[in-house]
Amino acid sequence: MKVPTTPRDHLIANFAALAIVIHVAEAALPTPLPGVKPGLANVVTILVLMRYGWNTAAWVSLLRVVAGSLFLGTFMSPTFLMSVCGAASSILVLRLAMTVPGLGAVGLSVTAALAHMGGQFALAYILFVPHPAMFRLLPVLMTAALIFGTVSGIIAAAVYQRLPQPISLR
Amino acid sequence: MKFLTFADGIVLALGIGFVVALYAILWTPSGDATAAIIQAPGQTATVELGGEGQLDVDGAIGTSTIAWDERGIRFLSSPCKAKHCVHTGWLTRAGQVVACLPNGITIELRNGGLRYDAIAF
Repeated sequence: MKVPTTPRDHLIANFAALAIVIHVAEAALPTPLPGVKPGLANVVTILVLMRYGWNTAAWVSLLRVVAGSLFLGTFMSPTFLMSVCGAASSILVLRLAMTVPGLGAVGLSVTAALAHMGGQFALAYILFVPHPAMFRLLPVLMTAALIFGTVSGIIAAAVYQRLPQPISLR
Repeated sequence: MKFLTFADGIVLALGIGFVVALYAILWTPSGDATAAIIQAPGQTATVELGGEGQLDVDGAIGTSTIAWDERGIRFLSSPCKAKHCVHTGWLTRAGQVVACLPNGITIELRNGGLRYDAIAF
C-alpha cells in the first residue's frame, strides 16, 4: 500500500524532523525548574510560520511534540499533556500575532514563548498543583519565557536573513 | 544587520512590562492587617484592629482570652496544656494565622479580601 504524498507533505516532514532533532537534543540539558528550557525547536516553528504560513507551522509544531515525546518516552504522560498544551497555546496565539503588521521574528517568538508558558502554567495549576503558592513561581517562569523567547527570536531572525527564496508549495 | 523591527520592540517592551507587573503583584508582601477574624466552634467574630480590646472566646475545652492593641493581636491565655497559641505571641501582618487546636479557636489577620497572603506575608 502506498500513500500518495504531496511536496507540501515532504516539506512539513523535513521541518518537523529538524524540530524533533533540536527538541530531543535539548532534552539532555539540565533545567533549574521543570518547564524552564531554551525551547530552541521553536526557532523552526517561527521560521516555518514566516515563510510558509500558519497551517504548515501548526503541523510542524504538532508533529514535533508528538514524535518528540515518542523519542523521549514521555508519550501520553503528564509531561506530554503539558507539552501539547504549551504548543497549542503558542500556535493559537501566533495565529493572532501573525496579523500584527511589521512584527518580526523576535516579536513573534516572544509572544509565542509567553503564550507557551502561560498555557502550561494554566494546565499545571488546574490539573496538577491547584495551590496558590504556584503563583509565586509564575513571575520566575515568565521571566525565563521572556528571555528564551527573545534568544530564539534573534536566532530565527538571523537565520531568516540568510535563507534563499522559499519553495513554492502549489 | 537589523534583527528587531519597531513592532518587535513594542512587543518586547510590553513583555517586560508584563513580567515586571507579575513580580509586583504576586511577590509583594501583604502589609499591615486591618481586621482579625476569630473563629471558634459554632461562631465567628470579626475585630477591627486599631484600638485596644480584649475578648473571651468559648472553645471546646474552655475559654480563651484574646487581646489586641496597636501592636497586633494575640492569645492572652488559653485552657490548653502546651500553650503554643500563647507562645506564638503577636500577629501583626495580614495573612498570619494562630490557632489553639485543643480549644478549636483560630485567629486570622486580613487586609481587605483574602489574596494569596498565606504565602506572601
